[in-house]
Amino acid sequence: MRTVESEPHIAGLKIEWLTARDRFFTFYRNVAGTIYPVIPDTASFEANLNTLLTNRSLSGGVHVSSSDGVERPFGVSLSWLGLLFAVLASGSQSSNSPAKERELTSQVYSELHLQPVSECQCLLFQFVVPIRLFG
Amino acid sequence: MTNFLTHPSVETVQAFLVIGNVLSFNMNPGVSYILLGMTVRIAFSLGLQTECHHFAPAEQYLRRYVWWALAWQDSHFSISYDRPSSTTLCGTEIPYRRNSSPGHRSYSESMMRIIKLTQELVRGRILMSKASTTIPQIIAYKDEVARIVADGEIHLRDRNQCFNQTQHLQRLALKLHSSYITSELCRPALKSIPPSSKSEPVVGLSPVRGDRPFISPDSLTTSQLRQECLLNLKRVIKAYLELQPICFEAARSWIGIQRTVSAAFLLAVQEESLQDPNVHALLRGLEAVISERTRIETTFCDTKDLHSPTLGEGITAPGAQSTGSREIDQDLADPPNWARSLTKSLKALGKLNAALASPANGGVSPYPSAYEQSGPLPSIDYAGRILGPRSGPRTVDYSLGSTLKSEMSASGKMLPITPESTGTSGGEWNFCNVVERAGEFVQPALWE
Repeated sequence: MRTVESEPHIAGLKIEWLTARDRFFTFYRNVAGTIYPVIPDTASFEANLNTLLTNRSLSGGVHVSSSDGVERPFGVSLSWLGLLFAVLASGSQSSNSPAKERELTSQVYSELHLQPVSECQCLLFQFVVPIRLFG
Repeated sequence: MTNFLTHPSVETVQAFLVIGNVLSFNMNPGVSYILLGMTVRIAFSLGLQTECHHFAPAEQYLRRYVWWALAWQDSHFSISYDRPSSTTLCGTEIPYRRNSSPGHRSYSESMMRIIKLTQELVRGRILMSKASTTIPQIIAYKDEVARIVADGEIHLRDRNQCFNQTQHLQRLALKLHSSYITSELCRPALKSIPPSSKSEPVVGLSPVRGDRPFISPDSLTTSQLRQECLLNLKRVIKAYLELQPICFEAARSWIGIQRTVSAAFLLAVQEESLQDPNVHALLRGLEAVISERTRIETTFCDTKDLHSPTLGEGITAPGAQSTGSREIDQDLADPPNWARSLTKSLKALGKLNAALASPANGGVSPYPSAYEQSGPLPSIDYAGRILGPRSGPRTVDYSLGSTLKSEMSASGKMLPITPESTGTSGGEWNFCNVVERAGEFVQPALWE
């Protein structure tokens, strides 16, 4: 499992989190998440997102692996981070960006899902999607 | 250890549901359907399908909510594509908010109640595929759908009470889906004699198969149900047309488009529709909307600078296989899935509308004379089913046979049904064959 070792890359990405957050999270909440709600409480979801952003900024964007083996990058669980990336991808798709760009976002997902899941799941959530979304 | 499969959580299920929705939005519902299978297993392994009372109320609420979000996606597939649904066989209570009450049910509560009712129908069909549905049953279900809508918050029922985009979106999505389900419920009544054939003796619904009379010959109720079905098909299209200007992005929803297009073709093959200017206007409206959408969605494909390296860059993330990069660059040259399947539906709609407007209108009836004698149509039966190679007799074959093969046409994508994907399309559309042609686009009925 390469997940834990690779995690610092999340922090290393040059990502305009705030801009992206405002753009994609809002689109998710207002469009896709409105028509097909999967997260009952989007307000507390957003609060979690803010926690992550604050912690990230406080740490200077550097993620330090924890010593007890329980990874909580910037104070959120990895499964929540997975959900966040899914939400941002959906937000990107609900956005008014050009068709091809939207399609690419989900192509990344489908490609990764077609590969052996155990290998790629974490990669998907931790690297590919954020780069695609924010890069 | 953060493998999402070995250590799944409710959030994992949510993440997969969101991804599944992304995929189907992208007109890639075939992949989404397969992914959903795995998601259902994760949910089962977490026990979301059962009521566990040792969870705190908030956790219990979340688990129920996610379960019904899962059933939501599953029921869309099982209805639209006649696939078995594993979430129908179990289920928890609907998650109501603490202050929820009839007349104030939220959008998600209302939708989940409709999903629950739908699951009941699908379950009945799976367990008793031979059973017939009686008129009283149909009416009871139909009234239940109406009650669910009536129980909703005021903005879900009254356009004038919608003050923001979210409220409009919720109202229109509920309208679209509740109307679609109601039309499916009443659809057996389409087998009845249309009102124009008044000279014929009133015989009510004739049995499709001699050994199994379908509905008792209560012709008054049957003709009311028939009208109800047509009315609701129109409401589906109206809801979609209204959604478009309110939120262009929301109208991109695959399930919304899929249901609207199938409602349009089913409506078009009914005799009442041929001379009904309202239906013609709706169909032309839909054509215009889809045409505009196709234009906008494909414009971007022509842009040369798509091949700029920055777009392929992200794929070669640390540790990621670089094989994907080239494939995606290749795909940049093609129009998105989205546009491809949309274009097919658009072409057919255009032909349909042209045929309906053709000067031959009023001449030879496109309905075979057998229709007026209550015998089965040669090419389309009264349920709008095609007795051809595409769907074949509806003996609910779950062995992933013919239905799947045609729907999972080229490249394994589950597209809205189009004659182009079935190989029967070559010919022209005209007023005389419009019913037959349009029938090729009609989805199989939810039940007989």
